[in-house]
Amino acid sequence: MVLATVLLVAAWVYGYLKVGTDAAPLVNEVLPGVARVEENGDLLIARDEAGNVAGYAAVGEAPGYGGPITVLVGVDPAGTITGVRVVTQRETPGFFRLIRQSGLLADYDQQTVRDPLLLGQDLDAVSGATTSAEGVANAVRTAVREIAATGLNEPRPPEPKSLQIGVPELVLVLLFAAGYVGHRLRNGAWKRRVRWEALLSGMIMLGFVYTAPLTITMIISLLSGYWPDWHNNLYWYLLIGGILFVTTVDSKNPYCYWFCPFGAVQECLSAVSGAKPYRPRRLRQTLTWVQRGLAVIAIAMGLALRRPGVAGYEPFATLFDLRGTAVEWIFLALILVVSLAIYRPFCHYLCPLDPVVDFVAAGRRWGKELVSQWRRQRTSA
Amino acid sequence: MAQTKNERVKQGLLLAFVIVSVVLVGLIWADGLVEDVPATPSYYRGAADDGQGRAVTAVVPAGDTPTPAAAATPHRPGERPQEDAQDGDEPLILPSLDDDDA
Repeated sequence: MVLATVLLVAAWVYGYLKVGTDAAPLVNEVLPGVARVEENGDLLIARDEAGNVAGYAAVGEAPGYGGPITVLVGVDPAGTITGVRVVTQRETPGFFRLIRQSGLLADYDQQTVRDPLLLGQDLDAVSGATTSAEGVANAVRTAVREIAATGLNEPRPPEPKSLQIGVPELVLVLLFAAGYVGHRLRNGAWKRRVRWEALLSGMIMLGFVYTAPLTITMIISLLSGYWPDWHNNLYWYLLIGGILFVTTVDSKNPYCYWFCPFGAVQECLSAVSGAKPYRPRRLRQTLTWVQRGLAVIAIAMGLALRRPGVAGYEPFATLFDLRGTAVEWIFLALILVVSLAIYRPFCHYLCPLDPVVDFVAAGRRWGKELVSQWRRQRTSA
Repeated sequence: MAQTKNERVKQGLLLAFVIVSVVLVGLIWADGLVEDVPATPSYYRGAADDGQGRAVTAVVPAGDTPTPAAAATPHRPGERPQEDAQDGDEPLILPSLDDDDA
């Protein structure tokens, strides 16, 4: 545990020092006729050979699914957007593939700094990659606001932020409540019934309807400091915060065996085939360390590269969104087939979240032990 | 003896499953890292040739207080765009754009 902590801290420090991109050399990719670029605070002024102003550019940043998305936007002196380039992004490759294929950036053709530039309004939404698309759109609006205010002297008022609470958030709260109540039921039959109803609800709603299970990408984003805007990402805070809170306070995992959608799918297959848990004593230690090793490597990679999206390997999107590479489909198929022979094979041998929850629980025990020792010392003194 | 043999086969299959899964996870990571191609602009607005081999859109004449071209949005009275480079900033000179690869 100490070694893993040291490794993860080192990865975090490395990622923190390494991150950063100079956007000025990229200006000619979003503005035509650029011969040189002057930096004026956050505004980049592009000039042509004769020294005339060919346009303005600025960098905008906004949270995506895996972390901040940075874009460079070019605007001509008339206020029309001439180009949009994604400079850095930390999204899961599948999500960003969708963005590139959707032509979202092409929607900015002929848009101006005076347009709303809102998804679903003058820009088409991107199905299956909503958070990533919103990140791109918000980043572009941030850059456009900078150009409008400091380059064109047309400051745009900041968009009012309103808290968005919808069905996903309510479903999540209800599932947490079901887990909390279910854990405390003494009647075994009722406990099983509540657990199955929560599992199936989680599978359908969090899995197939919203495709929003807990992933290691979210944990790495949390550790990297890439926290999304809570006004329109309350679900993210409820899911991570709820699990960490209950695990820390109650020493119980409210998620994995109560409403994890992928766990529910495996459990359904195991229920159909009658598969039982299988943890041979000879291999238990080895398998535990393999699972922990995968989690530590994933988190270290995500922190060092500051790309949470790349570190995730759970086949959730492949199953619930029917979207993945050939390797991801093979991985999913293997897990589903083995689920017919062994109870929850992904959860027991491969899931990176189990070691994270174990780590939090171990930290809680360690903290309790420290507090007890301190109290004993005070009492004896 | 049969049970022991069965148990060994099951353990072997379990190990094989875990090893194959670890390899697949490694391939998933490698896929994700290789796909590290920043999205080159899927949008770059075409522009007219100004007759000297340069692509331009709207251009503001050079001067002490540059103002946009007449067709552009008018400034508010008394306001000037802040276009002077800060002291000590070296303007970045970019190569010629005769070959437009957008």
